Amino acid sequence: MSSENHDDALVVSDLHVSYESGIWKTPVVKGVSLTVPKGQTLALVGESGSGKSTLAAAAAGLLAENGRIDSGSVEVAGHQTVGFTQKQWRRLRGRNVGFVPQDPLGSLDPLQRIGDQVADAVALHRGLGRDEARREAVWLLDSVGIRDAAGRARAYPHQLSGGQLQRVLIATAVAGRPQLLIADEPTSALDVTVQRTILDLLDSLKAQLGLSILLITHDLSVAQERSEHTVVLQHGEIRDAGPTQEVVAAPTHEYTRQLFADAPALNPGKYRTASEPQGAEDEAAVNEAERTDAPVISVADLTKHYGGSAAPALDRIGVEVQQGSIHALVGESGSGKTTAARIIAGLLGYDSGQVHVSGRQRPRDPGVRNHRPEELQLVYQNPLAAFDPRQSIRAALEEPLIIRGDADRRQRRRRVEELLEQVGLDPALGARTAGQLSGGQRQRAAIARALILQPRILILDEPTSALDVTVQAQLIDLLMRLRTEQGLTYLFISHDLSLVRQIADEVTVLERGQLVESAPADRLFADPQHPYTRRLLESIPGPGRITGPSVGAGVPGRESPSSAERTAAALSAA
Amino acid sequence: MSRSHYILKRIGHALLVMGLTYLLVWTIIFLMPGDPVRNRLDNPQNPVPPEVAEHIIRYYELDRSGLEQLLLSVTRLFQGDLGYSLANGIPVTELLAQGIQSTFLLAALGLAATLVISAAVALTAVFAPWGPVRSAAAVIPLLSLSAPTFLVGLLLLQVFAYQLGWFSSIRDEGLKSLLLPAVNLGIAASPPITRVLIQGLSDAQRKPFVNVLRAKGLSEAAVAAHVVKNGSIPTVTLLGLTAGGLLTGSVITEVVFSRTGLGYITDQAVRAQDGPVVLGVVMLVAGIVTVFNLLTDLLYPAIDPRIEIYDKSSGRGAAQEKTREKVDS
Repeated sequence: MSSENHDDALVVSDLHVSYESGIWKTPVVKGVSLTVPKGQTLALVGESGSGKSTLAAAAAGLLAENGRIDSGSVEVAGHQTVGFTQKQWRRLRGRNVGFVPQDPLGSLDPLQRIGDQVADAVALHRGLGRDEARREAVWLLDSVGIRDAAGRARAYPHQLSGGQLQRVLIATAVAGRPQLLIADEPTSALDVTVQRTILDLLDSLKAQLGLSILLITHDLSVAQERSEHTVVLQHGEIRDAGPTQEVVAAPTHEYTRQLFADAPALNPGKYRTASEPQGAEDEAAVNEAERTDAPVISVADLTKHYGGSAAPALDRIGVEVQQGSIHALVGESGSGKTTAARIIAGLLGYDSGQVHVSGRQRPRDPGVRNHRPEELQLVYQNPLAAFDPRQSIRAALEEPLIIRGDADRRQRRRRVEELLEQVGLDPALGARTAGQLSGGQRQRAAIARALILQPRILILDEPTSALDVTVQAQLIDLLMRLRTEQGLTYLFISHDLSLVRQIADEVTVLERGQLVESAPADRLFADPQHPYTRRLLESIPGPGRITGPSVGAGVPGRESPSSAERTAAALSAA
Repeated sequence: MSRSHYILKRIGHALLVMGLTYLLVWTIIFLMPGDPVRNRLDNPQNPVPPEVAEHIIRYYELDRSGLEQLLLSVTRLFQGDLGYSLANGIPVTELLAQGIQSTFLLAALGLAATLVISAAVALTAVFAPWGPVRSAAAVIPLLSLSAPTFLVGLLLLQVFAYQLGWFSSIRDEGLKSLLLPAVNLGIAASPPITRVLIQGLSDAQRKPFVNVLRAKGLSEAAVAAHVVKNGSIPTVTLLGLTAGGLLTGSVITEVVFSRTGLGYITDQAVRAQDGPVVLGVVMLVAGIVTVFNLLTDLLYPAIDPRIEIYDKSSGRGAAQEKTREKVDS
């Protein structure tokens, strides 16, 4: 059980994990072996349900109460941990293995000041007194790139942004100077630009402290950019494993190839190369036949304040959406993109400016009732929240038809089934409620509901951000097919630029309620004019950055080299 | 909104509630068929001497209009005069003062019992290391909710007073004789609090931060402390309501254990249609409940940093900020 000259931070061999509920036993991890060598990153890639988070939990000793390790071994820094009690685990935690969770907003005690939460870990692992631990915590916060660390240490978690919270959590995780860091989708809840700075921070800590990292991600492009080794997991089994470069260059398993094909960042031209050469003529024909000169959505000088707030949520925004096009509205959280979408959809009032949809002005104060549902529909980010939890999908789809006054019940039912088939759902699923469907099925049902009255325009508010890449790719395929079949116009709200690059014709970039750039997609991606757009584009992970300049270079834009060195010196000294 | 502004507004609300309560109760008593004062005066079995009757009619200005009587009673209220009991002529304030001491002691002990019972049951139901124990504890609030107060009271008397002889069922033994009624009150008042506490604790236990605390290397006891702190917030409101309710809702308990507190006084007053006493009791109760609500409102921001009632710098309330974030995401 000695860990002195062990070379591997984590060795998992032939691990089987299952969840028990009552007499049922569901195997989730089936015979997985992997090794995280000292000072290196192993990326564990897979879709939701692949068992990757379960494996991470097993390696951190954080399995849910009904989780059982059936067989195999998990060696953390030379300690065989299978069968460990909580007490035995406690000796490893913080000192040997640190844990960075997925959802930074829920992962800190909301009632405790962040400085104290870091100080708790410091005091525990370094045997320091209260005051000393606090000072140390402030200094740790500073070294993970929290500005004004002494002041922010007194803040409560709700006063910090997601990116800052993730920095706090990383500081907590490395406070006990562990050899191994287990990061469970550390950036999937964060904005793209923030995502990148967090990954940079992990990289720089890895270099400074000789950390080994088990990086759980569903995003293959992140794995490609940030890891030395990659393991691809599906249904609890390894599909592909090896040095990242090799896995990327020559994936051996069909599933890995599928993952690559589905990652938007790795296939920027997916929908263009297929449609443009032979589609150009068709499109021209469509243009002449259908496209009128007037845009279907026309927004000018749109300004909106939320009560009491000094800065406008939208400040004189202008957008024009051509019929039949996909217009992407891009920005980080707080940029106003959802506000704009809701105003255009007629759900929210505005202060000044003009908003025209299909040539009709939206009233300044929207009425309660939507008088023209066949004009425009909205698809929400979270379909689970957008469905009545007690209503069956069929009833939810039928409702707009009833409201419209379609009297024939049989005809209504036929239309619902037809539409379910169109969006690729088995009509039998119509009897279920939204809660009984998978994430991808739910979003398909939501799209079906939006289309039931045959609208001309769909506003899609981050329709795929809650889905993993494979399901996202299927959904985007569906949206592209529906567009050609029905000649739809999409206003596509997203923070995912790699996805936007794949599908959009026009892109409008918003930052804090200001319009920073609006251009045809090819021009915007080839030649971004605004520095903010350039920053967004740089945040797309991908093969171009595999040689990554950031390793060992500190945290870009946040941390001064001197404080990075201080971290390195102090943390590796002990 | 400044902090003092917030407090003033809350106090204003509280006063408004008191005023409306007074108006409502006064109107009901005034409109009740059969004027209690007249009934009392004209009672042939227990005749009031004419000079006393004269005095009572003059005091209540029974010959004046309703509005005038209301104004008069409000004026007297501000002078601390709640009138006299129609049953025995004792000033209402004096009656209440007699009752409240006993009731207050009982309620305070009852609240303590409620807290102890709720906490013990909820902590067992959530943290006990053995599954069956947890499940068993989770059923307790349901059991005590379905058992009527008087039955539990009688059972307690039967066991501890008659069989074991630890307590006297009739003699006043000071603080000791308060124990059984307090436990009785505690059992009656604890189920909702226990349920909410169990819910809160299990919700808090499933929060991702618990995993992070564990991953830090904290002991299970330290992790549990975080869970308890987070999980008990929803109970605070309920506790405020219960505290008010205990002071005022002890009627049955007091009757069962033959104590002459507010509950007993209320019981007698309602039976005797003793209007001034009923009005006095209701106002006292309303006052107590309002004060406890006010305290909970003022306590909340101190417990939970996420609730910001006032913002020194920008004058923007937390609620607005939250909507903004939601809409903009």
